[in-house]
Amino acid sequence: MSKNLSRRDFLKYTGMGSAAAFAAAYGMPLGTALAQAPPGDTAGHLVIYNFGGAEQQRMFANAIARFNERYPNVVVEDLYIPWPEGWGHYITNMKLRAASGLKTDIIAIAIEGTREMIFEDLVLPMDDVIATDAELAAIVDEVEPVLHDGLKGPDGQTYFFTREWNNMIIHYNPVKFEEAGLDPPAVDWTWEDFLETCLTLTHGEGADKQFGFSIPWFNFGLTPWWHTNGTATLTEDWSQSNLDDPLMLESVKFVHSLVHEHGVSPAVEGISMTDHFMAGTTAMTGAGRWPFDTYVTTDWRTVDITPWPRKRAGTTVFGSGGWAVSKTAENVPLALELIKDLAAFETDLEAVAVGTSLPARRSATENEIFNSFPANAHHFFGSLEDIKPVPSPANFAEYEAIFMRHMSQIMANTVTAEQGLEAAHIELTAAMDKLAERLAG
Amino acid sequence: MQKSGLLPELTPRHREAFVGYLFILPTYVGFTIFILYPLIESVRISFQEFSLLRGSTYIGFDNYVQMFADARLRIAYVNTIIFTLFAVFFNAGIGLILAVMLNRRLPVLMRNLYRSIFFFPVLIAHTYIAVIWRFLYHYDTGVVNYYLGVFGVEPIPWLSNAHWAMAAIIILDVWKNTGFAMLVFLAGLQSIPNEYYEAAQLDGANERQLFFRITIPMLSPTIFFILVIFMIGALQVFDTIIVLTQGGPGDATRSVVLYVYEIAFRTFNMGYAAAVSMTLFAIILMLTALQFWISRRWVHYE
Repeated sequence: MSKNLSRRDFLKYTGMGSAAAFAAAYGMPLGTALAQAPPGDTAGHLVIYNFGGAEQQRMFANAIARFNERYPNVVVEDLYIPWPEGWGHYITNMKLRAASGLKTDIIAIAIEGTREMIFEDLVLPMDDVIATDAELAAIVDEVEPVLHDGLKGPDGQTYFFTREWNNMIIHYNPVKFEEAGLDPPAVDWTWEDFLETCLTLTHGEGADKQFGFSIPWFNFGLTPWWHTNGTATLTEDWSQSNLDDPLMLESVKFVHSLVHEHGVSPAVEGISMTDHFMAGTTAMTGAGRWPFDTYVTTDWRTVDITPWPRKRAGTTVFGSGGWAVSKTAENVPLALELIKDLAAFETDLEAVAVGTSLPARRSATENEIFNSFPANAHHFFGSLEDIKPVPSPANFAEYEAIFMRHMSQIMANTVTAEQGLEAAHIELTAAMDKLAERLAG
Repeated sequence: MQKSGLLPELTPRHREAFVGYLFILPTYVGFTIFILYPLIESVRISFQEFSLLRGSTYIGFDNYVQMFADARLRIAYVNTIIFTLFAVFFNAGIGLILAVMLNRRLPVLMRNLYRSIFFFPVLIAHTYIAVIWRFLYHYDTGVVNYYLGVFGVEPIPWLSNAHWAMAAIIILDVWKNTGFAMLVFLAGLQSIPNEYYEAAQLDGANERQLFFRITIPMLSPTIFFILVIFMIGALQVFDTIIVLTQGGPGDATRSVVLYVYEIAFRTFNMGYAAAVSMTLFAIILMLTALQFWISRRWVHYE
């Protein structure tokens, strides 16, 4: 028999050979498992629970269009939530769908919500599927291991295919540096170098005041200060509070001093760091790649990036997002086929052009669009050499609220750093103990 | 007597009543589905350790007992009471002053223009307001502190000081909502017959006497309406706070409803959130009933 097999068909048929194992794993009828790579004339309806900006929505609409070229009889419904107001609310809505008997086939979620999703049994484990599906295995292989591992469950299983990611990196205005007679920051600069630079860049009064650095005032944005001092808010396994670590106290005091002792940063409340940075009120700020869509849209190009200054370590932080197959999916193989398009190389290339987040694959950044702006764009993927995921326990929303509430009191000088961290540690320890009880069932 | 085909057995009086009930039926159906049923469900959930997906357990009054040991809830209640007192007073007071000023003999065009200007903030979405006012209030780069500085006033930590943050929220709330009070007061003022004023003026009443002896008594039903509406709204304050301070710094501006939201959607403790909601519901009910009882002594209906 002579038949020319496409790469996709070849992978499909080899994958079908292991369908029985897949069926056993999920207690599915053999026939369902054999349909792991459904034929092109399959009819159906897939629902994606999704989030992001308008540009990303268009990007994923293109991925769905590619899927529909292969599966023209499948209707895909993209339930798009524009930048949800907190992951807690996003997850609750997802739970409400499940509790109401509304089916969802594919779930998109940021790393902050992955553990909660896994704990609530809302997503399917994927290790067995990846082992039998060469295309999915290839998608996993093309993603940086640290990113893929960051989305794994506490059991070491893969539940999510990486969708995009962001790190925290310093954004600086080269013109402001030049005006101040400063060289661009060295890649291995220290907290002391950073403070000295900030002091040089801070000058003026009233409406002409310029600050050295605008503090990114959110949990993810503050995390590099802890990581670069060799500490974190939670223990390595995200199971307990680490706020009694003296290194945390040292880090928090440093952040506090930027506003209250050295005056190189504006007050944190009510600030839009990107707006201040672009307006020239601050010469540096910290962010991921997400402001670049604004920079590009407004044609504001006086920005470059450099790694976070270090104290005891050069470790920064990343947050990522992933695609998972929902437990309520009616046709798991069809949902997996859609994920292949959503997580395809073409989608990553579009993500590079859109500029909101970093694509899952490094290979998608090896082009002129990505590397021409900013000049040091290589630092984005370069940071992966020394990076940790943002602590994301199953009670992330509660953990974040506790920590930021006490941090706001410290930054408002309502309490000292010692008092604030001690109170936060007590409250967070109780919350993590309660979580441990919940996880233990 | 000829019988109608649709309602053959009903007397005209009953038929009229039946049609009346049909007219109000949609409202009652909406009320039952969207208010009464969720309220009953909230009562039920408040006695449970509630989980959307893992089943719920009946725990009696545990959630209610937990409230007595919840220091953060006490702070949230104190904040809510402070906010309510100031927000109701200033919204109603400034709204009344603006309405009285606009009710004077202004050209129609000017009156409409001012009325639109004062009412405009009511129409703006909180999201936009948040962006604008966070800029206005910023300690280092805010417009408010800039102009205070012009007059030699030291910058005020509007959003980063516990006391000033509450003041900032009250100012924003009054700016946003007093236009509504003004509009209602203006309608009330315009419904007071001119004959009363003319008669009083003939008897030699001065402006102050006209205001306190005629305007205020005649406007008392409107004042009562505004006080009730604004008190209920203030006790449920949420959006003004979440867009400006998110309850911070610390818990300095956290209201009860914001606290309920966080318990429900951050810690996923729906049972406790429902129990706290029930206490707030009971308090609002009692205060409203109290207002109605007191109103018998000072509200005058023609």
